Amino acid sequence: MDQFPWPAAEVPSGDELAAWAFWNAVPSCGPRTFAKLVTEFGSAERAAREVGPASWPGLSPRARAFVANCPDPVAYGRQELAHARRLGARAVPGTSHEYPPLLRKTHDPPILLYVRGDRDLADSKWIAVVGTRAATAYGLSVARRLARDLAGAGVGVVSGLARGIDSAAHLGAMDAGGPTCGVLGSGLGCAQPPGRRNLIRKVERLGCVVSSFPMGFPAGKYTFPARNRIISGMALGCVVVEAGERSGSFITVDLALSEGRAVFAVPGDIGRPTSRGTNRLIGEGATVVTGADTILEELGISAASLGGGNGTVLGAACQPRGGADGSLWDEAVLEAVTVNTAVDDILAAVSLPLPTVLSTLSRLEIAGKVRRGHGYRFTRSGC
Amino acid sequence: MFAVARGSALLGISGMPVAVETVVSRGLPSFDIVGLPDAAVRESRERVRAAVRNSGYDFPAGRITVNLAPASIRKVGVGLDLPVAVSVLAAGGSVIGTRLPRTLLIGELSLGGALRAVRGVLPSCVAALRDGINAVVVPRSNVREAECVNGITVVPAADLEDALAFLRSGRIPRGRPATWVEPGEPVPQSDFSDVIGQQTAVRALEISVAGGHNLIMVGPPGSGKTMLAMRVPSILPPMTASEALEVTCIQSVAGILPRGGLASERPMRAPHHSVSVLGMLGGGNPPAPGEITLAHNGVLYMDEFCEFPSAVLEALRGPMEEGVITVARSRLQVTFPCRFMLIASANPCPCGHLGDSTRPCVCGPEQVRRYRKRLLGPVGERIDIQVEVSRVDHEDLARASPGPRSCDILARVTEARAVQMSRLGEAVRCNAAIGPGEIEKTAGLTAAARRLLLDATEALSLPVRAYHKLIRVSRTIADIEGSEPVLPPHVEEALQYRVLDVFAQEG
Repeated sequence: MDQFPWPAAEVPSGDELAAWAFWNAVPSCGPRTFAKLVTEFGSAERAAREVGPASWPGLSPRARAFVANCPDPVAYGRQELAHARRLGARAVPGTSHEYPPLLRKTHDPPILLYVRGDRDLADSKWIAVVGTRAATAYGLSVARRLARDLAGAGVGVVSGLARGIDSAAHLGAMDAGGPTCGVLGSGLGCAQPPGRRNLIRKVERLGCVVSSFPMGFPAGKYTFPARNRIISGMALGCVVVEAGERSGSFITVDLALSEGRAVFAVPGDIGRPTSRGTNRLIGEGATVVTGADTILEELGISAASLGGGNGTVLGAACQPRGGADGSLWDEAVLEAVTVNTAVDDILAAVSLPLPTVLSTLSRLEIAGKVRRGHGYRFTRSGC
Repeated sequence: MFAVARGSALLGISGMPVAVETVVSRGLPSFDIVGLPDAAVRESRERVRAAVRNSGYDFPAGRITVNLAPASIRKVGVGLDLPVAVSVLAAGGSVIGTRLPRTLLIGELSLGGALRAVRGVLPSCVAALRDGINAVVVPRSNVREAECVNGITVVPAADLEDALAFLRSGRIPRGRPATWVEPGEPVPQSDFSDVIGQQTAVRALEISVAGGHNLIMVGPPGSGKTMLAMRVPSILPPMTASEALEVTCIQSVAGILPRGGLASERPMRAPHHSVSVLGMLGGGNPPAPGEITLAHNGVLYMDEFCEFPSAVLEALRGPMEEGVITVARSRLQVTFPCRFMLIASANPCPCGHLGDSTRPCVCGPEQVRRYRKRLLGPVGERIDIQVEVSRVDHEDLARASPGPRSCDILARVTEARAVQMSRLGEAVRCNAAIGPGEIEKTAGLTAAARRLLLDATEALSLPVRAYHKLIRVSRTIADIEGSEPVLPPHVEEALQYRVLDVFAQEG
């Protein structure tokens, strides 16, 4: 596929940027239409002012109606930018240095991104970690671990901020203090479902949240494919952790494949409904993931070349710090804890009575060395 | 002529001595009972008349008036048939003897004169004993119950004639009571050694029973919550004499006294979640004990806790706080005791599969939040121990070692209860009943334990309500371990039983 014909070499600013923001908000007007417009009229601003009267044939009826109803397009664009500024967001046009380079190279990139959060999008290499909303405890813990290890190696984790695998991926990256980017299926400034708000706030604080939609644009059935296009477009590769047979993650996979990006899948139990999709992907040729190193190797990234994040060193065994009060059981119990280890399994591994194991686990929990999951399952935290 | 016989009616689960006064005067034959008899007591007239005649006596001619004193309290129960019959005969001139004033008469009369068993014999005897009686005539089936009370002579009577024979000559009929049941082999109960895995839940139940703490089990369907609950009776400590008497009175009034004797096991009630507020709390006309009273001194098991109607859950709050429930109906106000230990079980979320490693949870986070809020509602406030029960995998079934035996658990529980009794006395009895004001003073935490508790509350973001509960549970754990002060490991273990509070909902 040919590269997207970016209409300008310089970074737009002022009224020109406002015009970009206006064109971003016009419905049924995609990046290619925009590119043609700018080429024809010379600049986005002139296009915005003159296309109405000129009745340019390249616009769809909806777009034409929108433009016709807008008395001052540049003012509209300025309003959008002001709204963004009020929310602490910045507008990142396609020609900006911050625009993710891989996204810029895709077939149909969004012309403008609104970004909240301090991370520079172009600073990191990104890997997409996606999957079902209805994840099992297995999927959640694998997603979190993978994301943590990737982020620990300095790779950014991009995902969709949804419940389930997406959330686990974002949290894993933040565990390791590494970069994470959440792409919204709606515009910034839109009211988010109450269950999502905490996560979005966290990601804004420690990473960045991105949207290509106009400010306040509500989520709908058709906004998610567009969002998935950004997720797969800015990433080197796409990892699917858990997906049912008809999961939305396949849209993301198809988009990644159409841009020539690598696709990875995590295998699961053959009986598990949420692994049917991923197992099928493996059968169709996706690379099997058994750990973050599979992904990094396949993509030719080594921990050294990235200078590491401020998180874990990839794959090194976690040495437990000596118990705060020097308790000798802490080490033995901590050894027995890996990912989602059930208490009964820990009991079998160490030969200590149950009350001792329970109180040791509490101690480790308070010290932040293990994390408790549902069903008395414990997971070791990063060192 | 005027005569008085001693009978008893029921007020809630207590007996109320009734003086059955009869006057026979000249005039057109009539037979009236006054003193607020209920419908069944009013119908006594027909039964008494027929029974007297069929026993070979003449029914007195004339105006017969029977008064059930005290006159302002409604009389409930059919046990008054016998004293009415005897009182009428005495007033009519038959020779009854001198034992009448000191003898309690209880029994329903059949038309042929035979005596039938009634409910509430034990509380009636207890009340009458306080009133100064020294003998009680009861139907044969009620003899074992009456024999539970010390200090009175129990006279089994098969019919009116037997009763009269005793009153006249003091003759106590021989022969075994009709439903004598040999105390046979105790029924083998389900044992905790049957349970595979789930050791945390078993331990939580041990702590719960030892300290009288209310407990909730959270787990997916089929994880074994009901199996665990059904084994709880095998580790309940034995009742004291007064507790046994209370339970027997309640069961007698409810008509569910097994084998007629003193109750030997703590009751375990498991009402279905379709129970009404009336069925749960008690009431109706005449006021009957509800599930919570039937569970007094025992266990109330609420399976599928979230399926119970909100009205029922709300209504439980007061009685659980007070330990008694007052049921009022027209002018009758009755108080039933209801000190029970609650064991509840629930799914972790509306679809039931949150945290299940084999099936995904399909609930939205809002749904889960609302569901958990309901679990911690008015009754949830009073639950000290929250424990998770997870499904046991097939492989584990094969290789796991059997769990602890119920008799071992029971031994530890009984020890712990004894320690609590000596520390807290009869009034409070167990750690769960210590009020929040008292708990910090009496708990005996070491400084390290106290510091750990504060650190943990902060590190794990525990809500404030968890604080006192943690102290109570730690105290029970220390009692089970035989430790005088509460040490840090006891607090640490207690922290594992706060699953609903500690759970930070992952985005």
